[in-house]
Amino acid sequence: MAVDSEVLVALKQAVQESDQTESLEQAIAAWLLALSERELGHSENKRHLEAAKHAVRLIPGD
Amino acid sequence: MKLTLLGWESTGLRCPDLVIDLTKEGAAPRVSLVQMPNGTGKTTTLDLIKASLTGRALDWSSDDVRRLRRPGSVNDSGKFVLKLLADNDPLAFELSFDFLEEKITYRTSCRARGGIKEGWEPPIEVKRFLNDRFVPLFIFNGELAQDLLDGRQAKASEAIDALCQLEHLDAIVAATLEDWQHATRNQGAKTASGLAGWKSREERLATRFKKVQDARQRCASELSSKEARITELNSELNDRLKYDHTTQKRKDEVETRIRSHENALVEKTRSILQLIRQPQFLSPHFAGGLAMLKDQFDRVRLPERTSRQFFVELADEPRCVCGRSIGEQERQAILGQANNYLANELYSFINNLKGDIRQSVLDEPVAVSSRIESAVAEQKVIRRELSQFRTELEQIRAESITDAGDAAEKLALELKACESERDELIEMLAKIDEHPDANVSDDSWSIRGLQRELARVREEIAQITGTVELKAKLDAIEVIAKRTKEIARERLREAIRDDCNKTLEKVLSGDPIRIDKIGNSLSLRDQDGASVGQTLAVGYTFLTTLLNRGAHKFPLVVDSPAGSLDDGVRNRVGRMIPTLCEQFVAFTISTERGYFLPALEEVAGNSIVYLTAFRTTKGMQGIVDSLPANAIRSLDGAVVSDREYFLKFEMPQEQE
Repeated sequence: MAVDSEVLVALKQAVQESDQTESLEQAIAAWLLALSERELGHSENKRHLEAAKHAVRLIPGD
Repeated sequence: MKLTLLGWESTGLRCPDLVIDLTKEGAAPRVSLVQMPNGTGKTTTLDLIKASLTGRALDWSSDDVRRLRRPGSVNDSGKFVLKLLADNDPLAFELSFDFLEEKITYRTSCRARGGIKEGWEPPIEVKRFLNDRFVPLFIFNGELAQDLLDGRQAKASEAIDALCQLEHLDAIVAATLEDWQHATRNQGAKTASGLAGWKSREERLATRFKKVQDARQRCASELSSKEARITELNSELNDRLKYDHTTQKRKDEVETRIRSHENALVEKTRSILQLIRQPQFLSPHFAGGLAMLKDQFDRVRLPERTSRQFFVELADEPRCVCGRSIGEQERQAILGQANNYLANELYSFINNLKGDIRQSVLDEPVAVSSRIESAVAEQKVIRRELSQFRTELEQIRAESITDAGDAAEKLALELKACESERDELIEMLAKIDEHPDANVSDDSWSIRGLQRELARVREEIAQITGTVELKAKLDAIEVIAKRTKEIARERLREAIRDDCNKTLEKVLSGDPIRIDKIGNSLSLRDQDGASVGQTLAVGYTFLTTLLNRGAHKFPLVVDSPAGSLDDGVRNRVGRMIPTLCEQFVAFTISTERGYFLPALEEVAGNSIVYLTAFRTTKGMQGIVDSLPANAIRSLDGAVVSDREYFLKFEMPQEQE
């Protein structure tokens, strides 16, 4: 199961516009993938939550 | 992923019992035409195909199930089986109808998932597409094509969002909100202004803590010097004091009494504390309560025979007290039940408790509280006498200092001042070291209180800092998710529009119709409306372009594809459809054949299956009697797979 290529291109652009890092882009892409797999019952909810936490951690604080 | 529809079977349902095989020479052809006269159950069949694909029949109500029972029939069950290929793997969904319980159950047959499984269990790679949003995009009636161009509806936009899973970006936004609510559920200050307030408090407390800490250090140091000076002064003064024999004797006596009273005071205080530890001496209420407790224990009557130990020992015996032998099973049962009875140690404890109450409360029915009162009164006498002796000693000392001259008096004055300062320092240190109150103010002297409050405020700041920072992070993710959705949707719309126009250019070379923009609906270039044929052409093109995106292939299943078209349009749509998809399955009636079928055949060639299916009612007797030899008959239906039969089949009463 993959995320649509247009969504990934859009994600890249949105992350660049927000001056965030490429790591965050990859983390959100992984999060989308986990959501997609969760919808199919292919992965546990835990994986989606971990992907979410990882993405949040990658944004630098003040 | 490629999904291919192979056929279906229905038994005992509202539609006739039919076995529909869409394949030709073992494979699905490009076009499968299922000619079903009105009243044969086309709508029911389409609903069952959709329900098989989506698993949604599990949500159907009792009424929904009941409506699918064959009218006038008494059968208790029914079945619908849909056969497909997922890529090259056979996949089948079986719906079993229980009309007595009014329930439906699924079974799924799929090699990739280990054969037959109870429930609706399609392979993972197919499951993504088998939902309510997606299936209606490839199994539909002509109305969907019109809806795609209807600006009041958002079918085109919904179709793109469904296929490209843009709703997962909404799920990310929802998750950020959920995270935020979870993180701040039990907190007061969530804003930067709240944080500033806490930081200001921390600064005040930290300053105060430092001040008190310094004060403590200074006091301790001064106390040490003061005590040293007091020792010096005492020694110096004692060297100067001269006592005559009588005074010396008086002084010794007083000092002895002081020591003896100090010891007596300690002993008396200790005995009072000992009495206070026994509640029956504090108040008659406690004594009464303990007597009542013993009384209650006596009423409960806990004979030793009911103790747990009795049963534990019994379990080891070969025979029970009733004479029956004890085997392993009985032994386990007895040991299991033994836990319900008091253990010996607990029984002993209760007995000891009862004994203590009897001895300490009931056997000494004196006015117990008077023992403490008399002890306190005796302590007061000792204190008073001690105070008198100390005053007397002070007087003796004062007289001696006067007799010793000015230098001694000067030393005594300094000593008194030092002792006074020492007492102030001790008082100050006690204040600094005292046990803190629950609430600690910013000007407190309690070093432990300030330390505790400072830690609490710092913890609060850490949490608020965390949530304020978390809020900023979640906001950033929300902005990215929303922006990603906007950009993705725009890019997808443009890409799909361009793909659609390329297809339209190819399949409708003589028609200049093109899609200008995909918003909520499809907007056509340089024209406000579209003919029925153009609408269908654009609708089919859009759907097939969308469905085939990402190298996926889906069958296009359409109810009455040419029903409302005039002859010219039928011809054009008939030519176009086989070029748009790899498998086209059409439910038709005989009146749709003209102009549509020749156009389909022109493009699809021999890759067409012609099926005619109908209900064998009494009114159809003539048709039933003339069925060809290859017809497949059932209890109430018949299917003929033959082009000539398909072309000639007529129902006089048939209407669109």
